[in-house]
Parts: sequence; structure tokens; C-alpha cells
Amino acid sequence: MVRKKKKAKGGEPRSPSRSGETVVTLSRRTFWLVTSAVVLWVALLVSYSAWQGRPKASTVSEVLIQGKVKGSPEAPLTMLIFSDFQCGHCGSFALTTARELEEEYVNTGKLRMEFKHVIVGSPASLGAAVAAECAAEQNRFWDYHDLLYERLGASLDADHLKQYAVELGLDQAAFGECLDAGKQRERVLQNTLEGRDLGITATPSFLIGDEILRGHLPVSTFREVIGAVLMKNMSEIGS
Amino acid sequence: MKTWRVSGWRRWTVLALVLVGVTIAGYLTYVSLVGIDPACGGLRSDCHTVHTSRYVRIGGVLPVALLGLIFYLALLRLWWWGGWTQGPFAGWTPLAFFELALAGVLFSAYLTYLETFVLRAMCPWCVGSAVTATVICGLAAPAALDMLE
Repeated sequence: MVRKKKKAKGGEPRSPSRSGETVVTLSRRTFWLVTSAVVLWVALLVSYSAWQGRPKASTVSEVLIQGKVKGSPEAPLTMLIFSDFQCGHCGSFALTTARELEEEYVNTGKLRMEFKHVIVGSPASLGAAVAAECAAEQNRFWDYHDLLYERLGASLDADHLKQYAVELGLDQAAFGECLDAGKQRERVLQNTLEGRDLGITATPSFLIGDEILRGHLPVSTFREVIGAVLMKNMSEIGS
Repeated sequence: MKTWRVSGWRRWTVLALVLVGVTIAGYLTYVSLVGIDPACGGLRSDCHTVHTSRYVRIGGVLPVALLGLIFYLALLRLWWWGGWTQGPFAGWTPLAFFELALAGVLFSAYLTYLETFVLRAMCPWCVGSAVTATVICGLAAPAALDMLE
């Protein structure tokens, strides 16, 4: 193959070579200018993405508290649990770590747990969350919550959700009416928006004091953070 | 001679990888627009985390997956343009292809950072796309560098 290279400032297309190929040469300066422009363009895109993903609030007091609560209202510390009923790690947390923390901190009056729905993508998750809120109308949120996680992976269509209500002995007529009317849909979506405003980008996530934890972490990590925040709160009250 | 047109194995490898990228990005665009989680086997929970995160749409509107699909289709167009056309800009395609692939690699690196350190969840489809874009960029680099005086 033959290619004729001529010096050309900034790079110019040449006539096709004998092989029919159009050949271009360019200076190193031009190459690096183009590459720098590409890097700059990507940097702007990344900056915009990071900016739109930033947390919009940073403390519990900046968000409405309207989740489902377990524990004494007098407890010195609140832990928000941001969770999704189709998330495997959320189920693992709910059925293992949460129970240990409940025994250790909630039952001793040190901690109050509050559940918040985080639904973004899946319509089935939204349906399950609405059903859990309908169970909450009959003061059975946590029972329904546990059952959903125990049956993780099973269908979340309306028939199954109503069957769970039957299993728990809920008022079927009231539950069915609540579920079919989607009465609690707005509340669930409001929870999700609150989570987003706190910078919650994954499930499960937790807000303990001003500390955000992400993922199903070992119980020892929760103990460490809860202990540290309780100590900090105590020292602030003392001073 | 290392130009785009004549380096046969590299050229066809690039085409195969671009088609892999189109397939991955096309699938992720589909699940993103339909609002379902991608099939991720044992990593289903991680995929849910990634695909429902606040970073999944640019400006809250444009799905990142669709941006990826546009990226791979643009690479495919350039690949074709550089191979079988004789227009006045055909000679620029090695540079354009490399620079576009570089942009894809840099943005993929950002997305991988988000998965690893912010979301703490890995989506194998996203990792596959990032690796594909990186290999394409590496294969396209010699042709672009060959344009230097």
C-alpha cells in the first residue's frame, strides 16, 4: 500500500492514494488539541451527572418523617431504613441484621427504626410497597413487611399480595379496596423522593443520625455507627 | 502500514466488539425504557440498585443506556464510513473513531467508579460495556497515531 505524506499544518485531507485510500496527516499539536477537547467534553458531562446526583438534604430534620416506625418515640436515635421489596440484600437485612439490632437497641429504648420505601424502576416493587402501606392501615405493616421478604422472589401481582393479607388475617375487604384504589401510592412515592433528596442511591441504605450507610453491611458496622452516634449525642447534651 | 483500511484482523475485531456493544447497550436501553431490571442472574439485587439509581438518567431524562447505544451506533457508522466510502472526510475516520472511543472509555470509567464507590453494586452488563469500549479504544489507537506526522 502506498501513502503520500505531505507536511500540513493542523491536518488536511489529501487526494486518494494509488490504492484509493484518502490519507490525512496531522500535527501532534492538533492531535492533542482534539484529544483535550474530548476530555473536556467528557469532564463536563461527568460534572453534570455528579451534580444532578448530589444529595439535596443532609439531615433527618430536613426530610418529612412519615415512614413506618418500630420503637419508642422517646428513643434518643432514629435509624431510617430505605428499602425495596424486590431487593435481595434488603430482605437479608430485614430478616437477620434488623432483628439483632431490634433486640439490642430498639427493645432497650435506645433506637427507633423507621422504614422508608425506595421505588424507582419496578412496578411490582411499587405494588408491594402499596400493599404494605395498606397493611399499615390495619397496624400490621411489619408483619406484612416480614412476609414479603420471606417470600422474596415470588410473584408480587395483586392476587398474591391479597393472599398474603389473608394469611395474616387482615380485613380482606378493606385491604382489597385499599390496594385496588392505590390509595397509598402517593405516600410510597413521597418516601422515594425523600430518599433521593438525601442522596440515597441504592437499597438498602440507612441514615443513622447524619451518617449514611449503604448496602447490607455486617451487624458489627451498625453497632459501631449506632454506638458512635449515641456517644456523640450524649456528649452534645452534656456540654 | 497500519491504517484503518488495511489492518484486517484489527478492523474486523473492532466491528465484532462494536456489535457486542450495540447489543449490550440496546438491551439496557430496552429495560430502561420499559422500566424493568435487567437479567443479572445471581447479581439481580446489584443490578436493581444500579438501574434504579439517580445516575441512570442524565438530567433525569436521557437514559445513560440510550447514550451508550448512540455511542456504539456512531462508532458503527464511523467504522463503515472509514471502510467503504471515499468522501472528503473519510481520511479522518481513524482519528474520529479513536476520539469517540476515548470519550466512551472515560465516561465508562466514571460509571464504573459510581458502581464501585458510590452505589457499591456491580452490574455485569455495564462492566461488559466498559471493557468492550476500552478494548475498542485500544485497537483504534494505532490507526489514529499513524496519522501523526
